[in-house]
This record gives sequence, C-alpha cells and structure tokens, in this order.
Amino acid sequence: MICFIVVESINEKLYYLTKIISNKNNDNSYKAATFKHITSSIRLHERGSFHVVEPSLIKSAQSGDREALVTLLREIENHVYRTAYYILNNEQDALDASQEALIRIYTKIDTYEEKAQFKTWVQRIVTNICIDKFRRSKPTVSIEEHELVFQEKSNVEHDVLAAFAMDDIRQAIEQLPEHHRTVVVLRYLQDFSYNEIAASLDLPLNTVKSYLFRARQQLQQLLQDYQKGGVRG
Amino acid sequence: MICTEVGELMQRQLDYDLNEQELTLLMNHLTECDACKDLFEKLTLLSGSLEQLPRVTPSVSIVDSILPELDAIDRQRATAQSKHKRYARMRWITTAASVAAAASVVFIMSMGWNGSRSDNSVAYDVAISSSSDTRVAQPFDVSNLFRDNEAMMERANDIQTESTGAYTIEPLSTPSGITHNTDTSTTEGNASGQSSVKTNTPPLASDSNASDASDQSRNEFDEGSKQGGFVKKDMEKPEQEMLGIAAVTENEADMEEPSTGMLGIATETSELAKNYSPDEEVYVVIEGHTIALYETSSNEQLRTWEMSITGTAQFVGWDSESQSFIYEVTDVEGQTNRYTINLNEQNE
Repeated sequence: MICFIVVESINEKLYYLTKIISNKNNDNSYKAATFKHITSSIRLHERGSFHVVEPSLIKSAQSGDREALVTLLREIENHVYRTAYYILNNEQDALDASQEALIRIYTKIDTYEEKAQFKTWVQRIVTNICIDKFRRSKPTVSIEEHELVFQEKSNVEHDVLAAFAMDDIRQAIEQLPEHHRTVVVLRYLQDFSYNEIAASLDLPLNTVKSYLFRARQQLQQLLQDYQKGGVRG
Repeated sequence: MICTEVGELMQRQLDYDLNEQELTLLMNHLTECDACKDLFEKLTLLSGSLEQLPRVTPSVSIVDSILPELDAIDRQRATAQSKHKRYARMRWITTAASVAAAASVVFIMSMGWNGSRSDNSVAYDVAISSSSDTRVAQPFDVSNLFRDNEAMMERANDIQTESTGAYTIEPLSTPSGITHNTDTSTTEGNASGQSSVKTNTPPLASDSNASDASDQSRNEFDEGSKQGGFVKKDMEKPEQEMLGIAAVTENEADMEEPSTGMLGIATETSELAKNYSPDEEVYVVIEGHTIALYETSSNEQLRTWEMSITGTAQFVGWDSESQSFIYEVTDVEGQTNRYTINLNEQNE
C-alpha cells in the first residue's frame, strides 16, 4: 500500500514535469529550477521515509503485551529522535527528549485511539516534550559545539545538489520560533502533510500553512544572509 | 494576478498541494514576473535542501537505554494497584456505615424468620460478623484480602469450603482455628453459644449484646445471648437458608470489613487484622485488651496500649496523616465508646 502511494506520487510528479516541460513558456532557468525541485522530491520518496506501524502491533501493545510494546517503541525510536534532534538541535537534549517521549508512549499507549493516526499521535507527544524543553532552556549551544556534535553523530549526507550547506540550514532552523520550527521539522523530517501536521500539533490547518510558509520565507532570508556572509546566529 | 496570491501558490507548490489548474496559473505568472520567479527559485532551492536534511539516527538504542526504567514502571504499577485497592477499602470506613447498617437490618430480619437448628457454625460467622457492628463494616473485594488480611482469608476460605457456591474464593488451607470452630459447633445443642463465643462477636443485636475477647467474657456473653431472645433463635438457622440469604444480599455480605468481629478468631488463632496507616508505615493490631502498633517494614512492635474497659474492641480508622487512629469498644452493656490514640502522645 505504501509502495503504491509512492509510485502514484512519483507518477504525479512526472506528470507535472512533462506538463511543465511541454508548457509553451520558454524560460529555461525556471524550467530547470522546477525540474530540480521535482526530481529532488522524487528522490526524497525513494529514500523510504514512509513507514507505517502495523495496526496489529499497536493492538497487541495496547492489550498489555509488553513485548509488542517494546517492539513498537523500537520501530518509532528513530522517528522520535529525528524530530527531537531537529527541534532541539543538540544530540544530548534530543536523546533526553526521546527517552521521555518513549517512556510516555509506554505508559500512555492505552490512551491512543484509532481515530488518530499513530504516527501523528507519536509526533504530538515528542513535539510537546521538545517544546517544553525548548522553553525551559535557553539555547546555549555554540556554533562550534553544535557542529562538533553534528559531525560526530549524524549520518551527514554530502549532496552536491543541495544549494545550502546543511549546517547553515540547521543553524537557520534554530533561529525559527518554536512552532514554526516544529512545523518545518514535521514537514521535512517526517514528510507529514498539512493535515498530519495539524493533527500532531493540534493546530488549525490554516495556521499550519501560515507557519510553514512564513518559516520558509524566514529560512530563505536567513540563508541568503549567510551566503552573503552575514552574521550567523 | 497579484504577486501576494502567487506567493501562496508558490508555497503550496513546494508541498505539492496544487492541482493542475493552479499550477498553470502559477507558471503563467512566473513567466511574466521576474520578482516572483526569483523568489520561487530560491524557495524551491530551500525546500529541496530541507528535504535532503540527513535523517539522523540516535548513536545508541534509546529503547535499550530506557528498558530498566520501563521495568521500574511496571513494578510501580503493580504495587500502585494493590495500594489503590487497600486505600479504596480504607475510605469506606467513613462512608459505608449507613449501607452496612441497612445490610444488618436485612440480616437480622431474614434470620429472625427461621427457627430451625443449624449444625454448621460457619454460616453464623458470615451472618454474625456482617451484623455485629454497623459502624466499621465496609466492602471488600475478596481477592484483596488474600493479600491484606490473613484472618479474613481464613474466614473467606471457610465460607467457600462450606458453601454451595454463593461465594467464589480461591481455596486455601483450612486454618486450625476455624477447624476447631467447626468441630465444636457440630456438637448438638451447644452450637449457638459455642460458636458465638468462638467468634466473640456481639451477636446480631449489636447494641443489646456484647462479648469479650477474653475467655472470662464467655459467661458474660452467655448471659447476654439469653437475654436477647431472638438472638438465640437466629443462631439456629440451617446453613442452606443462611447461604440463600447470603447470596441474595451478596453485596451487603461482601461489605464485611476484615477487622470487624475478627477479635475472637484473632485471639484463638493469632491471625490478627492489620490495620495499616494511610502511609503504610505502621499498622495497628487489636489483640484482646491490648492495642499494638507495629512497624510495617520490620513487623516490630513499636508501642502498646491497654484498654481500660472490658469489651469488644474494634478498629475504626486512621486519620489521613497517619498520626492517630480511632477504635471503639463495645462493653457488656452494649455501650459503645470511641477512643482516639494519637501516636505523638504518651497516653491515649
């Protein structure tokens, strides 16, 4: 089923791609930009970030099967960590927040109701914890420290296609207000739709959009400043 | 088309949210507006970069790191559950009195109708203890008592072994005290008096009769039971009838508090009701004329108090701070007095 969605989604983009290329307008630079964008989004899907936890596993976990519950935690642990990492921008804080989130999921699994998507329920828990932590501790991590952590611990991907340095992007994300940052993380690190983000953060759909759109504008501005050699942080 | 409107289309395009029509609209505008085209290129570049952010993974397994904590949570839950049940019972001390009183009336009345002789004292135990005191009675979940109250466990077991399924209780080994009780009661004619003395509970009419925990009270008690004519009659119920009543009024019967009317059994079998303080640091045991305070962790006796008057003592309850507790003594006249013992004071 998941594969189907991905294929469909890729087909859709290829469709748009053909449409754009066959479009009567002859502006090559815009075509190129769009093309790059679309191909990169296809690549994103190929990276296989789609993962759905088996409903039967959730059921077993809810019915008190401890082994199932632990298995469930193992399946979501990377997703939980990734969100925490990009919101808190610090490995140790991310580990702490992830632990807290997984423990909360362990104790609250019986409160999960099927009407919500499991992944949005999980992300709601982890983002709440992160926002809490975020508010309690003022950002104290220096650029040096944060770069050190990043190089040590993350699977840094060198992508020549990426126009901005990853460090710059992460640095810019850190400048965003907490909700904008959270929306960006769910959109780009969890590949959530507007609706899924809205469900996770308990926000109206329009608010999600406006946060995301504003966040992208802010990021774009920040990154442009960085590239021009502006002051970082 | 205005550039601000295009701004939203651009943003939505980054999230693949545009339909074909909207996409065409956007593209057409971009060919005409350099500023928008420039912005869209930048945003597209940004969005592409964001999509390529590394999918970081934790350096260690987070689940492994919290496994000990999860175990601790499981243990906590297990103890919290039993604690919760015990506290639930404690709370009933103050709230169940009226319900229990009603139950007593039901028992007294139903038992009064029957005049035939019983050859089983166990049924008495159920009925007598249910009605012996209307103030301390409280409901209990039978399964709780297996954990919390040894004496009651034996009683419950006895009920089960003798009954025909009115109660469902896990079988336990029959304690000697109860066995003894049953034996004596089967001797014809003595059943009522003997079994009552064994349990040492004021039979039925709690305010007109009273018995004592000590052996010396036996005579006094016999006096008492003779005076209360219907009491004796009540004692002569056949088991089956009793069980029928017990089944009908099952809820009321279940309200029996373990410490109620346990005194007699306690003195004979040294299986005493432990009345835990709310914080569970200590518990109180009433043993004959002595009230003893024990430390929960060590089961060491911390203090004792001697009761000044003769009568049946019953534990009533703790205050919420675990600083004092109340017990009451019903004397041979049927007079009930309440006493408060403050743990911080030398004398009661």
